[in-house]
Amino acid sequence: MKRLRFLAWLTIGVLVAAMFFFGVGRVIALARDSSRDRMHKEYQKLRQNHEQLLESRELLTEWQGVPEKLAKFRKKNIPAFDRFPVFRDDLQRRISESGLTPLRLTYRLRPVRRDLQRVTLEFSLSGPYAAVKRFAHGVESQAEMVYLLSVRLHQKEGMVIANFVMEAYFAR
Amino acid sequence: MRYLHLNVASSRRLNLWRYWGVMVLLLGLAVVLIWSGLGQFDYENGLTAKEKKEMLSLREADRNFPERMQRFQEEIKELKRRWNPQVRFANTLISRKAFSFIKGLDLLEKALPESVYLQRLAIEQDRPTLLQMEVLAPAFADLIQAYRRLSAYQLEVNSEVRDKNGRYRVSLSMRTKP
Repeated sequence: MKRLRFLAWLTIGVLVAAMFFFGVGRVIALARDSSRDRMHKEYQKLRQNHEQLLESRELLTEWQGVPEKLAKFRKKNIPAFDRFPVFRDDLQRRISESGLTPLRLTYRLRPVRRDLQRVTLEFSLSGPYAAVKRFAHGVESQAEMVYLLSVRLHQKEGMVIANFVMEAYFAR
Repeated sequence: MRYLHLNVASSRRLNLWRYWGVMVLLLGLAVVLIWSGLGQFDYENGLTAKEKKEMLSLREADRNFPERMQRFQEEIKELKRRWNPQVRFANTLISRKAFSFIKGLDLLEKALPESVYLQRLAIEQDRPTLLQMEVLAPAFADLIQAYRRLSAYQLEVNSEVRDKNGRYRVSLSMRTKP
């Protein structure tokens, strides 16, 4: 009987020790959970900061490259004003090559910013529709910064009269 | 004072089945608790070795984060202030150069029926999608056919006049992006 009682107390002791062990384990696990959450939050925050830094650095590098890109753009697309006579001759040549008759030609020269010269040309041409279209296509394909601002066509006695407004930029 | 020892058991004999049953149950419970307790110890702390290594390098890289960010932002702001007008100007020139009048003419050639003649046409960069024109149709049926074809381009008929020869002179506008 005594042995059975001892065994009962021993079992209860083991049970209490197991409960204690479980409790301690639980507390440690909760502490680890909390620590893990903190680490994850810190990790995410660090990553976010790192990405923000990278983005800003990339943007800065891009902006630092802007002056060079602008210089290249100008060099490639905007000729010096010395080229204006050549440009005008070229325009005349294009008109005659297209088979069109020039009716009038006016220029307006205006300074733009400190270093650019805008030339606005208004001219009327007369000829067949296909020739007008060919001429417009030629202007659009030109490498320099020359573009048409407006095109007005009207038909008169079997011919098309085309009024063009064109803009070109030159470096001063 | 004397204490009375009362035995309230139903029988003087111990019920061994019940005793061992309770013991086994209690021991089983203890085993389960110990097993669960061990499970709690055997716990990863969430970050992998690679992430831990990365975290160390991120901590290193994160030094002076606010100051560095501020320095970057200030430099970007200064560069923008200095170069943005020129960038905008260059972009305007590029978009103007990219605009094609030929595309508008091509579209019109395809959209207008052969029997309808174009008399006037205006295309402008400032209103790049708008084509304003005047057409001449020999008969009403041709005009209706033209309207039907052009209706996909937000057609607006501004005036429609029948001349003394019975032809229709119509002033209309349409948009190249329907």
